[in-house]
Amino acid sequence: MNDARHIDDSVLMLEIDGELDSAEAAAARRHCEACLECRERRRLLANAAERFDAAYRSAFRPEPPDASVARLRARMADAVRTPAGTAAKARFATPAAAIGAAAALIIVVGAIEFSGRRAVAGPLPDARLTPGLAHAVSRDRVCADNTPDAPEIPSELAAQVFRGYRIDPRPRAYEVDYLISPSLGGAGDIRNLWPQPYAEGVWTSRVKDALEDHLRSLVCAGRIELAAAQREIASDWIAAYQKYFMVDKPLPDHIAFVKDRPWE
Amino acid sequence: MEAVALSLPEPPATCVRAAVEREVAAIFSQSHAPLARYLKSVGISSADAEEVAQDTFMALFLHLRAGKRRDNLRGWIFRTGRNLALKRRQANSREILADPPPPAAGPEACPETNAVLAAERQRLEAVVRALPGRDRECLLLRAEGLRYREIAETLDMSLGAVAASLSKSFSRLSNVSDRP
Repeated sequence: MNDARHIDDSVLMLEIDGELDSAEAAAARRHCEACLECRERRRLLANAAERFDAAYRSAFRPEPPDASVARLRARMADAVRTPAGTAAKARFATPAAAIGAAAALIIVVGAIEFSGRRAVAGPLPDARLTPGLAHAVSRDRVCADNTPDAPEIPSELAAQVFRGYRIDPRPRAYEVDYLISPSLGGAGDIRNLWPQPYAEGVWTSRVKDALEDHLRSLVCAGRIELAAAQREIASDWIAAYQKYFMVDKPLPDHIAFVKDRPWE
Repeated sequence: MEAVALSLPEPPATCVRAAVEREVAAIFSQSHAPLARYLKSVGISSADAEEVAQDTFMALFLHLRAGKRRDNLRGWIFRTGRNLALKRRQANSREILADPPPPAAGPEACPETNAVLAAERQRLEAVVRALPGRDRECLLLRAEGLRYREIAETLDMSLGAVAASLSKSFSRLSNVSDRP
């Protein structure tokens, strides 16, 4: 219990941490020199603070921020390329990731936001129909298989996807694509599938395939978290491509990249 | 003699932007690890803490690019990160279990030192866990090197309340620390 003649503990704490101005600190120190009780309380507080700091520091795990800095730099550059309003919205639309602990699947919902470039069946899926769905798998499991093949999508399921998008498919025009690829834990569920134009514009399924391979290699190298890769590809795979390859447009090699067969 | 108003040309927008990018990257290098550690203490996973830290520094970039206030930036960063982390925790709709505790000390420390530090940390952790949330956050923010005014800004408290919280917590810790 602090007596009115004594210094309050909070003032002692301010003095210990150098938070008082020089005159106040000098007055507090003078008082402690003359007052055994305050001196003892100050010693106990300072000792506890010192021991806590040492224990806290001992728990530090060194985390070299190189990869994180590179990622932030890419995001800043991306924000500059995008008009200010959209950049702010896109960056801070937190994807709602509904993760059920007991559930076998998790839904990765992308930013449900429709911009002008988002066609009903264009390079980006309709987030209402295809929010993205992934299995609750670990990074180790995702990375265990060196050359994972995407499971064949049953024709009935593909037909359902086309119906959902109100598309009468022309042969070789679309690839029914996984939004979150199976190589990143994506599920073969209608909520994770959409008809992606095979060769319309520059943001084609071939370009997305290249991104999927790159993201998987980053995940397996421990450079990004699996959940982050799933979220980013589900939110806006084009933005993810621009970020991770640090380009505005697809690289020529990726435009010609052939991995999956078109839907016939 | 006729007075001539001198006006320096404004730096091009690209230079300003590049300067802000450099500044944010420099602040990031200093504050990323403390922020991520603190965010985990708010109750989100390591992966979410990394995402929130990224979002926080992107917010800082936009904040500085818009020419907004620069005083107490570290307090601003931790407050913004805390708000984003709380939203993330709410969005996840469940408390995520904290990550397993990291190794007690680096490989260069001798086993005796490791054992002493580990025992000390366990005792302290028990007390810290029992503290009210606000007191615990004050303690952790101080341990991350924030000044009292920065803690006050982060947690929207007065400076006096921060000092009172810390003195109360260290008083409790001193009782425990002195016991074997």
